[in-house]
Amino acid sequence: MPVLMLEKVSQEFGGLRALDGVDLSVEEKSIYGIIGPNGAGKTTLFNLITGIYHPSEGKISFRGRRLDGLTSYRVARLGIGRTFQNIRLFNRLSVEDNVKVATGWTEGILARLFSRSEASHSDQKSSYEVDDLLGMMGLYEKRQEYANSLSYGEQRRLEIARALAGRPSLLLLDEPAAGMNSTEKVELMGLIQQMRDDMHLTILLVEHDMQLVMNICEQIAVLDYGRKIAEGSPYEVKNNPLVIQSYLGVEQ
Amino acid sequence: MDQLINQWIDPYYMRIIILVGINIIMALGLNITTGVTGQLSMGHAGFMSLGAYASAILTVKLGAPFWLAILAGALVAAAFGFLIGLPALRLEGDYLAIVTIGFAEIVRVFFLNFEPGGKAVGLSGIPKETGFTLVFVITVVVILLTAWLLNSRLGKAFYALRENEIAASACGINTTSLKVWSFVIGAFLGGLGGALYSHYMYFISPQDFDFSRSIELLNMVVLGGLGSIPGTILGAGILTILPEMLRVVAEYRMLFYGALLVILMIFRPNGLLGDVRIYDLKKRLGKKEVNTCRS
Repeated sequence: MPVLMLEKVSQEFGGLRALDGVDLSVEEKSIYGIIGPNGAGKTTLFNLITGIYHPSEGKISFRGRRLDGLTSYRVARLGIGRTFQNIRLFNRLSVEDNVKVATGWTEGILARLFSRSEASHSDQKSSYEVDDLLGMMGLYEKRQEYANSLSYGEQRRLEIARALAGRPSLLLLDEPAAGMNSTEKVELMGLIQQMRDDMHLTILLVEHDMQLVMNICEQIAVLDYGRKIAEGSPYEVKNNPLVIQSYLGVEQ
Repeated sequence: MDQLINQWIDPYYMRIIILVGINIIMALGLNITTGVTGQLSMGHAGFMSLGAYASAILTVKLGAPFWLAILAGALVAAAFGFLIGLPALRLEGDYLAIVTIGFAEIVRVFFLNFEPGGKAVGLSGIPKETGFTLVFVITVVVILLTAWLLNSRLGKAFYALRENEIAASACGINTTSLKVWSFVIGAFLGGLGGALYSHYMYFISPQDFDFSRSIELLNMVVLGGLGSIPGTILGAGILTILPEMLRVVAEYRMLFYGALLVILMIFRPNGLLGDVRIYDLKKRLGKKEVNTCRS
């Protein structure tokens, strides 16, 4: 059974149909890519899944549970983490606090309030988790710095660490490689695969970098003007005439 | 205890010290709403007013014990904080500020016409129960409680809400309930301060809680540094003591007061302690140590 299912999902903004009857099904532990030209509705799709928008039509379900209509924080608590295309960090919090603040929201407000004492088991555990995540992203040394003092690549990694802090089973990455140099991109590819394997995550990503998408995604969907024009393995998508015409272009 | 202290300290200074304490309590409340959570409230005097009147009416008209009256004053203000928190869910920034100003004005006009509160004449004969010891103890407790709250993982979520609401929500933070809570806590402390104020002043009238009072409290938080507890304490201290020290310049007092505010904000745009962290101070000291080791 797929982890995430979208059935005939549409989204209208005024008269603009940003998404038009999109079907999607993402399998457990897969790395699924969404590509398409600018304005194709990729980020809108993410915003619909994470409850920032609610779809005008259609159904979204996560492990059999309906997501459409749920508020953003409830979606997050079901185990869906995400990053943003335009980085959204808590700039004037330390790197460590950026991650810590996203941990353990299923415990409830009172538990968080009283979880500061050293004796508290859950706080101890979560503080190890935060350290592990920062270590994994290569940010442990900078844990006390303000988030906005990090470099661009580090900020992107911090967003991933924060998204992982809520212990998601599905991770949505919105253009994770944007602004990264080629070395960082290679590291990122390794990281994405490592997260999938070690943390048993299902990963859905939007990306313009074809090298990254074709290398690590097992399944790719192509959006154009709000419609899904193709879906399949990287090989199938790469050779689909419709995709070449609308997005990839012909090599000269 | 209070009598002993009063023998040693001049009543004029005593009065300033007590007002500093009361202002610290109220400013720490506003700091949670506006400084930490980022919900611009320009009507904090409304909560102060509610706390002051509710508690004073309880002791004067109904003969309630003092401790019950201040608790009731704070709770009444907190209840109104909840009501004002609800529109805050749909509004932000300037628009929210307008709503809070409107709220404080409604409260002021209500007490201008409220018979048990003495209408425009004000309410007098309030028992003078607030003393140094009580204000000192409550101030310390409030400082410790807010510090504890803001250092908890829940407290960090208030900061996260200020920094980026959409991201906070995507992290699983219920931004709706946190916004309302920030108003409830802020209003509770505003009401608590108001209740202590009325039982120190013998006499209160609606003019004591006008728009300029709201601005004065906001100034304390902004001057000290939005979101910083030591900053808020410093801001409340300076802005309570400064007008008194400026009495020497007589009628130019408020002019100097304004000019000093402008100058301070030019040199410290993030507030006096707005961007100071113990970590940064330690790092600076640490670097010096390293240098001495090498030399």
